[in-house]
Amino acid sequence: MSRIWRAELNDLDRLIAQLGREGFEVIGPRVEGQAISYGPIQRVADLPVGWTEEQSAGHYRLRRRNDQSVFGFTVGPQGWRRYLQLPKESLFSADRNHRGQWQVQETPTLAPKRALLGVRSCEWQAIKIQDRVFERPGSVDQPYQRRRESLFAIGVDCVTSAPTCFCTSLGGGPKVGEGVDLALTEVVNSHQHFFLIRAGTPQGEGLLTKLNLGVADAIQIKEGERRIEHTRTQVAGHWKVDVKRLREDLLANWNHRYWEELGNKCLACANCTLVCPTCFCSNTVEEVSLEGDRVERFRQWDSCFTADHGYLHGGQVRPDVKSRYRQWLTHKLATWQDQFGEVGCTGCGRCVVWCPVGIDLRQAVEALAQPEGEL
Amino acid sequence: MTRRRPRLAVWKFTSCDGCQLSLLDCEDELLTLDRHIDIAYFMEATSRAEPGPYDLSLVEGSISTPEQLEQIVRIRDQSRVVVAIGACATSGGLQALRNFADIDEMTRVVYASPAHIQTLSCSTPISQHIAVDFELQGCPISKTQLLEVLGAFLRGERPVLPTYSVCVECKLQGVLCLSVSQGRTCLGPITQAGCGALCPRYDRGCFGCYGPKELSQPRALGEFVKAQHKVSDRDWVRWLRSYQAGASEFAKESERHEKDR
Repeated sequence: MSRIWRAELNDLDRLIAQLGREGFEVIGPRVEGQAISYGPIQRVADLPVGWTEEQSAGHYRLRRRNDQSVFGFTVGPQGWRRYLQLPKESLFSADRNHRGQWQVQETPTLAPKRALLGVRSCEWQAIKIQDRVFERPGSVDQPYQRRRESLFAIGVDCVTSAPTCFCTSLGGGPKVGEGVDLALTEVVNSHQHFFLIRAGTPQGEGLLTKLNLGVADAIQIKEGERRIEHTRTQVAGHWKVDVKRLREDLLANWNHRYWEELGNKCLACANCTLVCPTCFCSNTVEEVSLEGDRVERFRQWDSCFTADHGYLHGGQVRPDVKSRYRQWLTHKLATWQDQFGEVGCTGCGRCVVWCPVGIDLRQAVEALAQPEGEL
Repeated sequence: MTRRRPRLAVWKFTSCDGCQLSLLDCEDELLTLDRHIDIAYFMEATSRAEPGPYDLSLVEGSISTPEQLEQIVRIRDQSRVVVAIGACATSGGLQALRNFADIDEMTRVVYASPAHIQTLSCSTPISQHIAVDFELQGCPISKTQLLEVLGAFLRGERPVLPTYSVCVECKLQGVLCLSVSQGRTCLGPITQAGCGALCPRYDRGCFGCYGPKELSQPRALGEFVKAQHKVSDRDWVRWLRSYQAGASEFAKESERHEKDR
């Protein structure tokens, strides 16, 4: 096991500054309007010091903490996905010259060096799931891969949870998994405030060396572990599910009466899919000049809840809300397993929180596993 | 090679002229447009009116008087393609509020001499009276979307415009959800995109001026906001009855509350 270091608040500032010197744009959580969301940060003071949030189905409120925790919250409105799979990305443009010939220019890929500070376990797991989607041997998505290669990730173990968190039921969290460059555990109590830091990659190790931190002692390490274990117990109480059974239950109940109910309640607004850190669908759209002599092709986030998504060679295969909700849930939890050998959900709970009518995926799954007569 | 420029007519029925103005507002594109389209009838731009037939008619406004019932049929007869533009033309507009009231009583209250008023009891969309080739929603319509419709017409294509929710536009731009984060009423999840999430970007809930999206479910949203955000039945009806009061999905949901009462 690699060594665990101890960092003070000002060491975190030095870490951010060092990343800046090495050419990274540091992105981290910030209080922005009425939520904690990700954006560029310069120093610890930009982070949500002393803030947390209250979350439940269709409900999110920013709240004050009674301590000065830097990472005393869970996950906000949107994950890191927008930094890797851009919401809208130009692919190429083409111009027609006066002789009627088309000239095509590829759009350069945007892949700045970025350091993500505060990646949670569920989010790191989601990035790895997207890696398996976009970097599948034989069909590598090059813009994604280039951005992924320019990424430095600093994970944060969760020492607090929201009732909507269920990472542990899907094999993750609350401790950030392997592959992350650095990982932090925050320890705050009435008389001390420090971070435990461990490196997960040679790059992370290299950065830590430059910071000249002291090694954490056994008591401090135990303090950190205790907090993580406490959170693990909390989150485990939020949902328990057997992934294999989940697949069988969903696929065996394709015509369950409860789909109808979900179809009446769901707005097909696409929010769940757009806040989901693993959803990867995109649509190709073209912007054409009035005269048709210039065209630019973009790739834009799409969702299985839109009409275009289900429109295949002349027909709509998912004409109602019920069939779109069923597509989302069964793909995410069941057929994703057939496609990629894992579940497409990491239990971050965003689809539950940011659903404008508060549909809870966990409740939907439980209801669909019930015999119809017992509903 | 010269080709006959297709002839365009812009018509106005009961409306505020704002959607026609969106065409004049295409300042940077107007000259290009003029090279490809012959503007044959457009009263808001010029009093020079050329007779039909027309290749493309843009129709603004709702049908709300007896004369309009005949006029709209004549327009259809003279036009190869008819596109209804704006909330009035696609769902009856703000004036469709009359559809939920007694027109005679209203006329008496509003006008000194109601006897001079010739009006229909309902304000209705163009598609209720003639076959419409395309409906461009919005109050007012988006200039960019109008250019897409005109460009597609010129290129002989079908316009490519979103039918998804305003929420998608919020998420693409990273705009925080006002409904979930603050419990504010927002019609975004049931409203069609096209405005670029203008109101949410300025910290206001969407009030649905682009009309129902494909598979719009106002009832499901209503049940949630009434229970969770404590929106009263009366306020929910008011949310639904503004610029798109006559849109069938919105009207059906607002009328459900009156029936319940």
